[in-house]
Amino acid sequence: MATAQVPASYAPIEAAPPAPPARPRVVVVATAFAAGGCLAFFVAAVGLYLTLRSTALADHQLWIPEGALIPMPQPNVMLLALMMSSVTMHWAVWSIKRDDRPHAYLALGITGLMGFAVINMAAYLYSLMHLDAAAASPMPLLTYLITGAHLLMLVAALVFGALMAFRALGGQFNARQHDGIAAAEFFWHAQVVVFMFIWYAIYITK
Amino acid sequence: MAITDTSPAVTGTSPAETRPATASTGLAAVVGTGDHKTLGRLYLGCSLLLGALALGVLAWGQFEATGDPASQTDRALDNFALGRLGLVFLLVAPFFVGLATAIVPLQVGARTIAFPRAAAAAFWGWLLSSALFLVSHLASVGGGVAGSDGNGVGLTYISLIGIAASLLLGVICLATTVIGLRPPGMYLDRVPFFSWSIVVVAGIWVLTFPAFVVNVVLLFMDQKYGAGAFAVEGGPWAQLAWITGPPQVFAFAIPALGVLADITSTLSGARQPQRGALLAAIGAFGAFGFGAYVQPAFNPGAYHQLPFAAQSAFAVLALLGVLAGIGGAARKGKVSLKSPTLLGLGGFLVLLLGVVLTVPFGLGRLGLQTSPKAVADVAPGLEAAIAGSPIYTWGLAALVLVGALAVGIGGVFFWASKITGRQLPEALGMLLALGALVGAIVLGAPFLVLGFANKSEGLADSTKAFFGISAVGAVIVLAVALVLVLLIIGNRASVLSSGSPGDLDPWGTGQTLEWATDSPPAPGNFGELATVTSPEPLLDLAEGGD
Repeated sequence: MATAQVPASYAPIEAAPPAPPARPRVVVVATAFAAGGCLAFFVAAVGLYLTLRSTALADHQLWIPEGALIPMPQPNVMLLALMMSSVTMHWAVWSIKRDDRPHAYLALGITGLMGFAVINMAAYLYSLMHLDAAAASPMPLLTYLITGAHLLMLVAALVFGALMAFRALGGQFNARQHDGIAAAEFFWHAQVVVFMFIWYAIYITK
Repeated sequence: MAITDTSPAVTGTSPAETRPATASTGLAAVVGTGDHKTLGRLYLGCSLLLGALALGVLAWGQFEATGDPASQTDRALDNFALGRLGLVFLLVAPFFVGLATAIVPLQVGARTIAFPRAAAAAFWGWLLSSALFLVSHLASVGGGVAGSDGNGVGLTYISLIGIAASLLLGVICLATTVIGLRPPGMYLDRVPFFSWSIVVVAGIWVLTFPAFVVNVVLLFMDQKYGAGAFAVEGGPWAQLAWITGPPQVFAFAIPALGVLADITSTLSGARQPQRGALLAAIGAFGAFGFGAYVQPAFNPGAYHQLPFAAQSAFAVLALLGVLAGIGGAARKGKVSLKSPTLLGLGGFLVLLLGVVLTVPFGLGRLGLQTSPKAVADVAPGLEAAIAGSPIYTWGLAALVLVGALAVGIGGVFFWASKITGRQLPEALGMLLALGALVGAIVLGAPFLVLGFANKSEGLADSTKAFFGISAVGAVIVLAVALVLVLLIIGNRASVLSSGSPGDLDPWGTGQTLEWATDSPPAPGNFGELATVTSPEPLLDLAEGGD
């Protein structure tokens, strides 16, 4: 009597294959250092802003130059958009961890869209504020420095996210290996935290 | 047990046999390289050359102050600023980044540095920015940080941003190598001391360099678009001087502690008995080197405040902890007095002196926090520099930086076989040790003494002589840098022409992984590494353990 052929994939496993070596998470580590450097930059800049502001107010000097305006609706919308983008960025990582690639692409796309919306809103906000860099007060220059640097960080986060999205499209990330997207998420959250500081120090405290 | 499955000492085969061959040769191999050994050599050579140039400009500026005040050129402040910033950004910081780029991946058993192309970009970015920094000085009067409207001012600011960003990128690659590319079993408390110190450096530089960049960007924006809203007494130099003053200047000396600890541990031949305490002391010294908040331009009372005084005192304690740690290794084993030991210990003592003398600086009663008026009379061109940073801090910075550099030179002699392929001449090492230590003292001590001129008219009358002596010190350090770069180039050329590699472990007492690979290491550095079971894997191997 002929015996049934057992497919090779059903053959008993004599010994489990060795576990793959733990991948060094170098991208995440380097991103953490870079994000730390960015945070230090903003802590220094916002600290200088608040120090000079308190000195100017103590000396009864004008801090916000005449004719300048700091409206609230736009920064509030920007903050809201960025906070939501943090959720969608996490959604992307959550999806890729489950090999749910379509949802990962969707989440990365929405995140990018919200990033562009924030840049657009920031440009509109600049047009409303009428800040003159040549004013006697250091406030306009500091505001441009801090908000401009945040926009740069946002652009860097967008580029980072886009690169990782393309690598995901290329099939480089999956449930076991998703360091690149995790690093992009880390950097994205860092720039959202930075904007929270800016929102409070510049747009609320003024 | 072996620490490497293909350890040459065990198997008799060279790790090179298991590595891929290199393709590029000649100039392409240099310009396009991502090899950490080549990048390290480039860093070392270029930092010594550019640093020598900066020291030459500094000496020129100081010699000028010994002449007739009326005949001093308008470049005095530029020369001064270029010399001071150059000592930090063109010499000491890139020198240690270079040494670490060459050695740290070997110490942690990595086949390459993390992000080799980023590390290469960091080097070329630093070199280009440094060249721009020097060119901006030549572009026009005011090219430094004199605050005039000279054509070179903007270029100076841009180059400073480039230098700081490049050094940060380089050190982030190194720290990532230590954290992410270690072999199994090499926990963070088992990494060699130099590698550990680089992780500490990365942490402190990442936290403080951005604050320096904020200052430079503001100065640039103010000069380009503003109306002088950031004008502070002492001009732009006052806004930047904190990076070369205490306590921030300590942050550039952190790697020196790692170098010294590795030298003494290895040359003692014994396991470091107080390893944890030594790691903690290096980390603590790094933490007390955080000086981004001590910016007198915006915080005029910074030097009078308790945190500054406490930080200085704790930094001394941390250094004493390091001294106790290396003393422990020396007691357990027997440290041989070779050139690395002499350079390391001598440089460390100068560094310790600089840190100890920071403590009296924090005491307001001594009047050290204000530059003597006599100095401005002798060197009117340096008036803004004097207003921007107390002259006493010039001396402190010189002791700390050149002391650390001397330890670093000891590191070059210690790891010469891994850097160039062969040991450097021992006699020249002794000579350089003498030169570096004398240079550090002669460069820094005059300004430390001159700091007391507020209290002594006799000292004030000798201001010119002090400037002259300090200029001689700058020339001595310059000569040391040039001799060292010639030695490195000569040694490397000799190895390349003869083609005969040096010993794996020329000291015979190597403890850490860099001594398990060729001299110089071939591309790929290592074969397969087994699990590391202690901080001294080569001692484990010698003792026949696992």
